[in-house]
Amino acid sequence: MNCRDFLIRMDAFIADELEADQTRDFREHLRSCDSCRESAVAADPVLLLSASPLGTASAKQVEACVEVVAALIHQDQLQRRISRPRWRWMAAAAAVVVSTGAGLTWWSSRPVIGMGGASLPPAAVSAVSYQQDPPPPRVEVESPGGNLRVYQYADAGDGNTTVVYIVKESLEL
Amino acid sequence: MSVVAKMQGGDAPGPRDDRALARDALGGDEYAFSQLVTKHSGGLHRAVSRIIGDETEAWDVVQMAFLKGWQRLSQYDPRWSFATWMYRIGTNLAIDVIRSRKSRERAHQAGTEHRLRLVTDTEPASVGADRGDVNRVLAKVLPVLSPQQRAAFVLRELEGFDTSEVADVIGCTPTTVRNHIFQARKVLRKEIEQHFPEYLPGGRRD
Repeated sequence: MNCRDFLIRMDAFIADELEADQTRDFREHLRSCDSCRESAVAADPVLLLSASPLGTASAKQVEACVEVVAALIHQDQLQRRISRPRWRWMAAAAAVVVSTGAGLTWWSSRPVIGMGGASLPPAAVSAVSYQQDPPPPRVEVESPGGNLRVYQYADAGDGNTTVVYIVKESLEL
Repeated sequence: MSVVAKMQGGDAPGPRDDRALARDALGGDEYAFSQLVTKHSGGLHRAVSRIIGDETEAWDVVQMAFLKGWQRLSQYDPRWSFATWMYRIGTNLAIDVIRSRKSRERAHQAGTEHRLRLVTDTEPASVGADRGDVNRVLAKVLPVLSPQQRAAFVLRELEGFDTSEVADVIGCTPTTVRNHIFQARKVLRKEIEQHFPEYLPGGRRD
């Protein structure tokens, strides 16, 4: 772009009406031609800022940036690797704790634990009387060997529910 | 082999375009991503440092932007320019920095103001004489703008992006970008005339 074209297109540049390549040429001329820059700044002082030189980062700075980004990526990958299995194990442990706690609560809430063949309540018993006088659950114990003991609880009031505990004899209190 | 070692070593492949590099990086190729960082970090740093007004902090923003870029590579749409996508991430981070660190920026501006006084008291300014001073004027007047106006002005007027590219980067319409720039120009014109008359032709010193 020559100085004449620059001055002709100045208003269009300020109004953002130039094509992309004309805008690029205008900027280059604004940065490189002192006399046109003076004319431009006289027309619009903000063009002083548009004439600011495009600084470039040094190769050393870019290289340092690449190194830091690589380190950040590795740290991110490591954190993801560490956090994934931990969450899995924590979820499994939480499930075991909850199920064991629920089982123990259910067991300890039973007033009487009988061994085998408790009689079933009458079918017409009311909900209130059922809560006041719950039938004892049926408990079966087996020792299949290998220092294991199997407890099987069957709730007489709910034929669909059976809870089985497999316990190592050496760990029993 | 580490990324840096690969950069220094001789097993680097030939030049690939940004989209191919981004595709390879998405497949886990860190060297491809390091090439994208090498190519775009300088330009992104220049834009970010002008937006937030702090060159050192701008490198932190650029590094975080590339980390986010790596983490979100699956969201990159190859129909976009990779540079535009990275400028979008970097500009949004820069806007967050401006919003969340106002007190720090105030301290920075105070320091810049002090340096400016030293410069303008001892050296007569002129439009053409020392354009390094123009950057100091920028550092003084740009913080007056809102974060969105500042980002739009820097990208459009200083970095030379098209209005539509700026709209893509800051996530608004071209009309909004024009409005941001119009408002920014109005504010900046007043600031320059008020604080830097010595930079105007003929040195209009009131």
